[in-house]
Amino acid sequence: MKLMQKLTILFLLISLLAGIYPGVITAADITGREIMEKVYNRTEGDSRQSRLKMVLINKFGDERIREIEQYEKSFGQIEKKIMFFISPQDVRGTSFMNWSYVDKRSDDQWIYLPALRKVKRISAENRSDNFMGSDFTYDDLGDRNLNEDKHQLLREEELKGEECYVIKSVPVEEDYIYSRTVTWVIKDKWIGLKKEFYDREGKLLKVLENKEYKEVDGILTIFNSEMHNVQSDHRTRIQLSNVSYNIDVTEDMFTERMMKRGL
Amino acid sequence: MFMKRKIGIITVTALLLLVLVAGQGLARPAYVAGKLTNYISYNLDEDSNSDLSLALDFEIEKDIGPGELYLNPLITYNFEVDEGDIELKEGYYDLYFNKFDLRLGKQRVTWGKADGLIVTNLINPPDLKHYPVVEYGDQFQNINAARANIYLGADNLEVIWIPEFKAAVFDQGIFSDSIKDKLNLPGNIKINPAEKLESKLENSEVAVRYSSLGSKYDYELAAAYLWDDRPTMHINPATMKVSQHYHRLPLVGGSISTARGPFVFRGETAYMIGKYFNIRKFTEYPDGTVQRDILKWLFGIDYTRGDYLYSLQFLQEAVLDYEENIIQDEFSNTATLLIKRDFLRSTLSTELNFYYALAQEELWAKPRISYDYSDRVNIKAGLDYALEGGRMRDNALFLQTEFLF
Repeated sequence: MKLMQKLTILFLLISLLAGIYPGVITAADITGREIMEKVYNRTEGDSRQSRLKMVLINKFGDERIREIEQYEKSFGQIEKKIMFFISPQDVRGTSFMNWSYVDKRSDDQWIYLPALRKVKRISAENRSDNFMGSDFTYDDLGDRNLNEDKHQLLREEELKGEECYVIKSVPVEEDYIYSRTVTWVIKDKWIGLKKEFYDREGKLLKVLENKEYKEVDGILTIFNSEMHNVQSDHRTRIQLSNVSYNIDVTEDMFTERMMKRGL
Repeated sequence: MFMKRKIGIITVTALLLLVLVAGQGLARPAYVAGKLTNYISYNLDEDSNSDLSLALDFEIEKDIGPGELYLNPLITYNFEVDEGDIELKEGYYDLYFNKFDLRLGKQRVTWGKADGLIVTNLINPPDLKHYPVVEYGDQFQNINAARANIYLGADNLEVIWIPEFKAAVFDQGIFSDSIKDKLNLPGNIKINPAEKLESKLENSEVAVRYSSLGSKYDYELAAAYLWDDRPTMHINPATMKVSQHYHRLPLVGGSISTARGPFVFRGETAYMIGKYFNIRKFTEYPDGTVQRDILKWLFGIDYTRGDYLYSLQFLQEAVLDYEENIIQDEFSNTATLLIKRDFLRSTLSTELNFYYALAQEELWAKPRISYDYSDRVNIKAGLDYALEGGRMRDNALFLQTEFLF
């Protein structure tokens, strides 16, 4: 072997160990925070419309169904979201609007209650509340941001035939409802396949499983997922349908008018 | 009563037929939902049932022509008085344009940021005969109106025209006795009922509101040329007969709300011009009335902590340029406190309301509980109980069961 070939092989070996070589990303190449950054920053288009069906299942197998039509759009510094409640009958006509800000400002939230005929401003500090009686909190549904947790890469492993990074995320806020979460992120897709939520005492509380995902308009989208509260044995299945990205919606969609008028 | 019911039946039937006929061949089917409600209330002071009724309620929505028709017919039967009724509780036609909406028909409008207390929310007159109320909205009557909403970006200019004045519904006997007492009138004095206002253009009502939702705060500015929905008693000094008349009550006002962390702050004010009051000074005011302006203001804080919502409000009504003998106090102060918590994945909702009228030292506790047994069956129960003070109402409790279909 010529000296030049030997030097090249040596350089490649050192590069691989040091994580410099760009061809393969290994655990040593990427940190937990960087992985979660890719998950949070995964492209989701600048707007989205979808129909959300939540099936709430108690430990006896009894089911309750909640359906929502939602629209989201990013307007530079503000991300706006409006939800129209379709069923059950007693919440039909209710709508909810959220404006979240890229800077550290608190979200603005409003709710329209048809019985009162009034759009009411509500505090956005209820992110730990369960959403519509489901096993999801507002944070679980995506309102959390990257800097609210410290992320650590635990290991890499295969789950359901997918190569995953396993990330532990510990909240910065001390008295947060979870002491930590552990997420299985599919390599190169930057989408969560499974997530475990641990309560304040460190016991397993809930397990979220991504059961079906596919591409819509070039964007990976989770269509079917299930959250299982292992302590109360209650489950919430979320089914997404009628998903479309980069839709033609203007700021007029995110107004008092639309909250009252509905779909 | 029979005539009214007959007109009601004809109107509702005609509207239902219109929906069905107009719905033929149209792509989007009508949305139809129903609700059967059983309501029982019990008067704790008289130890008897005060109300036992069954109501069948439909909601129908249908795209017709360029707009959408909404109908809410209601059939009720009261077993206590053995009487049934049918009415169109709400029914209107919505027309949607690019920056403009129009709603024509019987409807309800809510203004302001106050919860359960009235400052600028004066478009729909109250119906105080139904007691205790299950929902806040049950204490208002729907009105026939034309309502236009003009959208200026995210802001909204609302213009309402109410062609025919509708008075408040309340217990006339209690009201008359209370005024007679305050004016020291003899118990047997004859009080004529208030004359209904003629249906003509100059007797119509107009109201305008500008509202805005923003990232820092929401606000409303309102102005209205309304009628006072309660009559004023006028005494004829010669005959000592009492007649009741309705008077105009123009007002300007506004409201604001903002959120800071777990707190939501709310404020609302109204300035009412030339309200008629009864006065015990017959030498200067022979018919026993005087006109004064009123300033009402409200401050409220909502605080969310964990699963609890606490809501505190203070309302003051001040009679300006006050005279000693006006039968209303110069300042009427009211405070409310609401503590609310949901359990069992929001299927069980509990709330405790306190209502305190400071001048009368009247303190009410109004606990409410609501349980969604299933998505089709809801059970609600509550109690209105006076903890302190003389009161206009009896202590009462209610139980309501709803079946949705």
